[in-house]
Amino acid sequence: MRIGWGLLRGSRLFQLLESEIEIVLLSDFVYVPLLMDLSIAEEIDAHSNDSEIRMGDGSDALGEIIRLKGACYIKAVHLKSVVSGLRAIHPEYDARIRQDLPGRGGGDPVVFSPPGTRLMIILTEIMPHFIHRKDRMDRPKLTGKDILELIERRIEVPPACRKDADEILGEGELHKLREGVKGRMAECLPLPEKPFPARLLKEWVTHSIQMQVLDEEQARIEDFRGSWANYPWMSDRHRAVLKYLSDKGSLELDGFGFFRSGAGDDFIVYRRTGEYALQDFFGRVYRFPDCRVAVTTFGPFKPYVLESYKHPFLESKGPGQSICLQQQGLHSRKFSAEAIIKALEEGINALFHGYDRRRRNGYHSLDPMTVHERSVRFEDLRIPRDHPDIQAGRLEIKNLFR
Amino acid sequence: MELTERIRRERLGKRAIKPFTPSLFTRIAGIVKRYGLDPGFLNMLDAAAGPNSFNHSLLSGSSSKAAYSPPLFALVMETEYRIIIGIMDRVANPYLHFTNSPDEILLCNALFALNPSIEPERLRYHHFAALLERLMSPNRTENPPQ
Repeated sequence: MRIGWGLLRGSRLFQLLESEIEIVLLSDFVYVPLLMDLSIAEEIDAHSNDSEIRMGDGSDALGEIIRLKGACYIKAVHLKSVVSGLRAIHPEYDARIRQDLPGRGGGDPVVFSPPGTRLMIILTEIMPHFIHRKDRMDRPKLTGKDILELIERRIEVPPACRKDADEILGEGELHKLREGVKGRMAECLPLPEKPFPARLLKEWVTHSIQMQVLDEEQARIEDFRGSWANYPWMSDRHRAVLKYLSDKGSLELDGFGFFRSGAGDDFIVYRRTGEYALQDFFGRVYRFPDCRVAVTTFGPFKPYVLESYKHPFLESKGPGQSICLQQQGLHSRKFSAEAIIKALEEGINALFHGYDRRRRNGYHSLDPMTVHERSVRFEDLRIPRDHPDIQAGRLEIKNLFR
Repeated sequence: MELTERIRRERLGKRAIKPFTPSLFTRIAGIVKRYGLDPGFLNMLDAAAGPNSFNHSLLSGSSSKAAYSPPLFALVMETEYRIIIGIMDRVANPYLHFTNSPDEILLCNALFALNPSIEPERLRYHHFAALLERLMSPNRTENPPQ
């Protein structure tokens, strides 16, 4: 007697919601028509009395089956499960509903993305570690406030971003949207307490998913408003920079940068190596081009190179290769400024100082000894030891002492 | 020795895999779903209840048996269930097991009334209309229609 569950599995749920099949709603449960064969019919006849079961009492002889106007319906799924299940089974449908939210010009999230906590951590804790003052060495380290002011000086923040806190968070607009969706849901409900075509339920489910999206957005805004308490120095000027960065989703400053990955508060944080040189066993020098060593904020917190790049500590030549580290697998599993800083520094240190010319460690050696090492060659990077850039100090040989 | 041989053969026979045959309900359910039959079909069946009361235009149709393999099992909506049960009640004869289409269901009672002992092989491979025509023709022979 579990036929109803089978009907609502997988994509069948979607088919049901687009069909003219008559369903019943009772105590927030969807009852679908009971599919029959001879044995089911015998079982029904053996158990049920002929009287119709009243709507609303929720109890009957067979527990999960109700009989209405001569037709049998079986309890299938809770309304909440329909909403959550549809979001899980059909993420593309969920995305379409988000896109179709009224008053929305595309993009994600619904109203306005308040700068997420990860962006705040990048700006106020990670950037100060990598960006230094150039004017005076004895001045104290930059703070989050200094970074935001530095960014404000370097980039042009559009006037549209210069709003007060409420406008930035977009709570007013979100409230209006929520009221609108609530109204439309109320028009759908109460759903008729009699068999009705399943496609009518789809409209209600659509509004429910929209409401869930808006609820999530509201919770996110409230979280973020709470997190502002950690930054008592923040003024409208700083918020304008934050809003600009949150909208734009990327920044590069003095060799450090980040860009958004996906639609949420996840970023890829990187640090440029700049040009550097390594020497091989025979003292020959190899000039390595600039590359970006990156870490994602959603883990695993392992450094990798963004560009196509070759290096003794990279397995091949393609983009996105993880850098070979001495302590592989000991990376933090939880996002924190320390985890990102540690991973970036480990990656850059490995590229700069990890290669030992005597031990020829890594996946490849600069001067390959065996045929197996010759899949990645470095001869094209070789430059004379008295190259003008080395003489002038513009190019540093990083493994001089190894 | 004979007893042990007999027991061995009996046991072997029990172990042999018997081919699965869908039930009559499943066969009719397949036809109802395939042709989208509605309750009006039961009225047509009522009208064709007697041996000579079927619609003779059915005989002039194609005499080739429609290809049909019934589903392995059938779960149907309640309206379809009523139609299937209605058909099974109205056509309560063994020829129903050999029907492949609604036309044959309509001719089933008439065919059974005229000759209740047609071999299963003929029922399986010849359209009921062709069998009925052969039975009703004045110069009737025992040879099956080609």
